[in-house]
Amino acid sequence: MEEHNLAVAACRGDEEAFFNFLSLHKRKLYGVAFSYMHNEADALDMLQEAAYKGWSKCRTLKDPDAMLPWVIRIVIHCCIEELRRQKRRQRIVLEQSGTYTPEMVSVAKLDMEKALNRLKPKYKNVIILRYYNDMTVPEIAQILGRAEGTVKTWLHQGLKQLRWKINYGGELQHDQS
Amino acid sequence: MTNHEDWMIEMGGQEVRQAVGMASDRMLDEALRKGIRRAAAEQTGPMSRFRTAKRVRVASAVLAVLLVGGAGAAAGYKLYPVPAAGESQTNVQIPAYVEKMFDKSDNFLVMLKQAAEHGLYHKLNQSVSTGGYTLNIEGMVSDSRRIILFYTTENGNESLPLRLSYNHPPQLLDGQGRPLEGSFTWATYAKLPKDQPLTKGIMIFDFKESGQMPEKLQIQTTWSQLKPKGSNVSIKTESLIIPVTIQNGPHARDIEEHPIHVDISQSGQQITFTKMIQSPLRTDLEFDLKSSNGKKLEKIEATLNLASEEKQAKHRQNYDTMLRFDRTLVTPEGGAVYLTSSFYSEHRELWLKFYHASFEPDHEVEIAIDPKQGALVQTPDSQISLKQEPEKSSDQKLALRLMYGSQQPVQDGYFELKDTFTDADGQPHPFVQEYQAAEGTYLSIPNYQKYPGPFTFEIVKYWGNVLEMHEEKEQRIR
Repeated sequence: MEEHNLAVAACRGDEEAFFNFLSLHKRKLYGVAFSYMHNEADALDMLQEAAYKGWSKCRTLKDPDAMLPWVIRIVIHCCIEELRRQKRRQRIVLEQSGTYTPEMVSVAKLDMEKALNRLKPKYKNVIILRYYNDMTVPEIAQILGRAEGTVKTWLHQGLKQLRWKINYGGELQHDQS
Repeated sequence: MTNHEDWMIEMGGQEVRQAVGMASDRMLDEALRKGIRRAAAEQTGPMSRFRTAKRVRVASAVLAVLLVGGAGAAAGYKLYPVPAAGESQTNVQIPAYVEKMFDKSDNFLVMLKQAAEHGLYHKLNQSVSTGGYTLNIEGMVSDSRRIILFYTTENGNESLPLRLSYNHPPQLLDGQGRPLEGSFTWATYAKLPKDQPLTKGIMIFDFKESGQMPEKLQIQTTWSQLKPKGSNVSIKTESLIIPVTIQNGPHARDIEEHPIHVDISQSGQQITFTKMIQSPLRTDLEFDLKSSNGKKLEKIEATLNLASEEKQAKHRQNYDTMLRFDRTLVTPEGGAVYLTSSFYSEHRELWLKFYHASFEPDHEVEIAIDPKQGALVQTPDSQISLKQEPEKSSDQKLALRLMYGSQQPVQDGYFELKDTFTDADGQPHPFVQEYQAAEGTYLSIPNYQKYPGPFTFEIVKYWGNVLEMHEEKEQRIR
């Protein structure tokens, strides 16, 4: 069934259509989730969580043609929420154990993650969608519900800050927005 | 940005793309289904159950069609042909709505336009009606192995569009109504304005080899209207049969074969791509299958790309370089993958990118469980393990967790079992199974104390008998 019909049917309460719609875009959704979570298990959990939230609220979506950006937005929100939860849990674990598990992770990757995590969420979101998921500026604008000009500005500012944070060895800099 | 920062961002992007490439369809679908099921379970009970039952029925039907290779035709139909609007004629222009159905650079659309330019498109404007449903074949593109029909349907009963029935895919019949060797491959619809009765779309049929397609044939299609919101009225379906005469343009018999040799050996399986056959509307990649571990593996799902230039993974997703994957046919010795054709763009190079393939066996695996110990007493595969879940168990219910492999957390714990087990007396009983990512598959056996053990379960699919092959470096084949 064509994508639009699936979205229409899903908004009308057709569970199978909603699943088929998500399944069409599962790799895109998983890619977004993986960009935030950096591991398979968490990314799958976020996919599941987004499907759960999506189906719970599907009938409130007024424009079926906006279903994909809407679902991607849900994935992003699920990931951000989960990362916040993990941050709280991690702090507790570290305080209790005081140990660090060495992993085979490159310094560059850690630096990049650290730098990205220190960006404002809006900058982090646009960079992840643009460079990790190969989305275009209009697609990102649709997903985040912002004007294309705003997305371009955020990308510019985000990259500027990212450069600053990477070049200074992850030292926390003042935001320049 | 400096080169270093570019490189760091590219590394991050590569990590994501690799992860996406490695994720199996089943794993992703399972996560989505679980989320939707959880949400559905929290909604109203009876409706949810109805929807789930419907979904299972639809999925079963689709699966049956996919695996068995075509469901039986609808029993009985009425045919009221509408007179054809004159002789068919060659026309370079394919219907305008077809162009709106695909991205401008989509290779499928490029292929259709090139085929039309070479005289393979013919206007038909041939209609049949029954029960208020009208099917009109506006035109067709055909070569010696593939038929692409451009159609519209109209629902004369209500302002709701029609769609092809899930349960009865289109069939090709000869003049006497007998099934032909060719079969339905896929169909898609144009974007529809809301609540209007007209559907516009295309249907694609394939014959394995050139020379199998008769000059005259009939196409049987079954249509259902989209269900109105909140309606629980049963959906009306109608079967429509339309006769079609194949129009052979001067290029309809064009076909080319290129020998290729791409070997992919993983996990005791060897796939050797041996031949590429291109006609104006289809590219076939033929392959041989060999197993070094003696496992008879019959069902295959494969994902591969043919791209017109060597590209980084992220660019490979572009439609302008990638040929659309249509279908895989497989036998125990080999098979063929059907893709969109680039016959009229043959000056372009082609790169074969093998992403993933999975094989399923033709038989189930049997395990036996001692319900008192909550332990496996018989298994043909030492990698299968079982753990009792005391916290989830009670006098009325035995909860177990089935896992595969030795890694923790369990990465490959997906099991699909038949939905009943048999007790020591050979009596079947139902149980519940649920897969949890990275944990394994939970089995919940109600009233287990009433039945004599051991219990025998049949595993249809698990990671030990579904064989997975992963991404390989792309190779130039033309």
